[in-house]
Amino acid sequence: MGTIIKATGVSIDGSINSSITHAYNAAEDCIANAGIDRNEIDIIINTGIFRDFNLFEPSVAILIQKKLGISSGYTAKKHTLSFDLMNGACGLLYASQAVDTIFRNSDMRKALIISSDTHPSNHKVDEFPYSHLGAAMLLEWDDNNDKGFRDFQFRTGKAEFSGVESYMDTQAHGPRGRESLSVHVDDDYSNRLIAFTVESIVRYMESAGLEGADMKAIKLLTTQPTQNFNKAVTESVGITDHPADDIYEKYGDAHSSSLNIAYHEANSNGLIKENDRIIFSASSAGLTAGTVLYNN
Amino acid sequence: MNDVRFESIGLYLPEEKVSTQVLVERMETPPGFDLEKITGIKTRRVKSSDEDSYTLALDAARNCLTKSRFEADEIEAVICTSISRFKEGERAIYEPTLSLSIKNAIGAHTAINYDISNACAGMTNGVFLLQNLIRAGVVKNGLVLSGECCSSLTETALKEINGPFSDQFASLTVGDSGVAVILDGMTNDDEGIDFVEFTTLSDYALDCLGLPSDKNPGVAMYSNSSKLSSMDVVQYIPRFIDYTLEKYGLTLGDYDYIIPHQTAVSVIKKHVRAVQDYFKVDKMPEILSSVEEFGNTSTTSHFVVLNNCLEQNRIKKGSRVLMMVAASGVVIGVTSFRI
Repeated sequence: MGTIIKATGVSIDGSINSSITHAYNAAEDCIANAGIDRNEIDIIINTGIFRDFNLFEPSVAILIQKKLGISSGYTAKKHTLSFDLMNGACGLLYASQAVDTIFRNSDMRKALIISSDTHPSNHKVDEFPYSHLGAAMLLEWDDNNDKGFRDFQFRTGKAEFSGVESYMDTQAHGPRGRESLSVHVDDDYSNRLIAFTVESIVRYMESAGLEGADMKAIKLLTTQPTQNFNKAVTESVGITDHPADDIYEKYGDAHSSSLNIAYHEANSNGLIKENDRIIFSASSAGLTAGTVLYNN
Repeated sequence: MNDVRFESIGLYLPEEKVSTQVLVERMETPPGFDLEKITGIKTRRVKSSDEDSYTLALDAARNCLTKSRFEADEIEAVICTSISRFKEGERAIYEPTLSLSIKNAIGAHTAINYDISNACAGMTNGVFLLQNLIRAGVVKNGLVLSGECCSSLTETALKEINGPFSDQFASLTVGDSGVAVILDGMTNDDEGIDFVEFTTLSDYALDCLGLPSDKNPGVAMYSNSSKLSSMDVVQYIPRFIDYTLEKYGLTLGDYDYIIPHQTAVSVIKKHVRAVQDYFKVDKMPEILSSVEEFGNTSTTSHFVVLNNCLEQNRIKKGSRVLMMVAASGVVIGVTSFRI
């Protein structure tokens, strides 16, 4: 029994600058790839960070739900839970853990996790370090076999170094708050995040009993906030199979969508095989790292 | 299942009380009607200049920990549910998360943490997620909290309301606060969460929007209040309660108290009347409210009421309570528990 990835979808059209449009397009792609009736979806979680016009109410997830036309009105038989869950590029894994626990405790069986990041102004802005992209992942409960996510682990650093600070100063920009954003990335962020990520994966493998396992039987997918991030992490960890090396080179920093796009690309390219054991590793500001084993 | 409980509840309210009368006097364009009479809200709390969403949530967490059997370093999950995400004044924080700053400040360094956003349903949503984490055995306990600086909306509305049909009047009903609850898996005959359920009706997703103002510095909330408080929407509250009670084998008569979302006295009465009419009962459970004193504190509203009623010994031990959730989106929800 376990929570499995039924399908994924992406939105990579570089001419789109709205996070809601990217998330919606990725969701439509994902639903089409899953081949399901959209009204079967029980839960919609948005894990994107930067919102069109810095909107803070309602949840972005419910705006996507409206665009998708899922359970827009009330019926006694079908309910849909939509909300936003935020933790940088690690949101996908925290949301997957949340979904896994809900599946285990209820009769809900399908969850759509969406993500996208664009500059709040809906324009390309040079100082914004993230690529305008979106991704979606449909999770499903599978009670017939031993597939799915196993043992999520999360770690954070203590307060002295967060690596990235992003915020909208609601007073500093006068009436231009809807189009304003500040992102500060520490010079040492990438190096320290690589070290933190490696340590997190090694600890995970130790606690999951994978340290003596055949490394060739394990694949690794990571978030890729910088050019050499994936290479540096995989070399340090000693896992030789890392099927989506070039996500940063191809797309830049896809931030909250990075890990989902890495999986989507690897799967689309035939690099994810039946019975593969995949370690998903997400890391970002905090420092924060999430690690989980997935039995495909 | 009935295996997770509210282990402790904490509250922080800023000291400054501001009357509706004083607010109306500060409006650049007078409302043209008696705001206090229409809303029933007499006062609300307003944060000081050195307080923000982060400090309000943190102070509530510290208050909660003083009532808890857990030390901060034993807390295994921290979920922050604030809509207003202000830290260091009026910076709306995206990264790192507010939950990380809070857990580091209290010393819960090993806790799972994330922020969620779901309008005024945030605390309900957070309790739902933590309840599932505990039931699935991922954590043994956790903290769900929110600090809300709603008065930032008020400041914008005071400048921008330009007549009796403005879509910013709801921003004059709000107040600042922080709440925190610790949940654990230790239940007994007198306490425990029966269920947390909510649903989102996206037909109404655009009828209440919060975002920065395009006329002044600061944030604003634009609400189609008449639509959102119409029976078109309110009817879903009793219908969803009916669905949940049937699902869990409970009846309205099983409840000692109901805590509605704290919007305005008139709106609360309408919600309660809708439930009474739907269930065709002569006597309703006692309705608990403090909206006259604290206004609409958004995500925290149910727990402000619960905390104060517990402290005033207004809720007898072992009582069953139903929280009625109605939030922008629209989100309709129910939290049912004994305490």
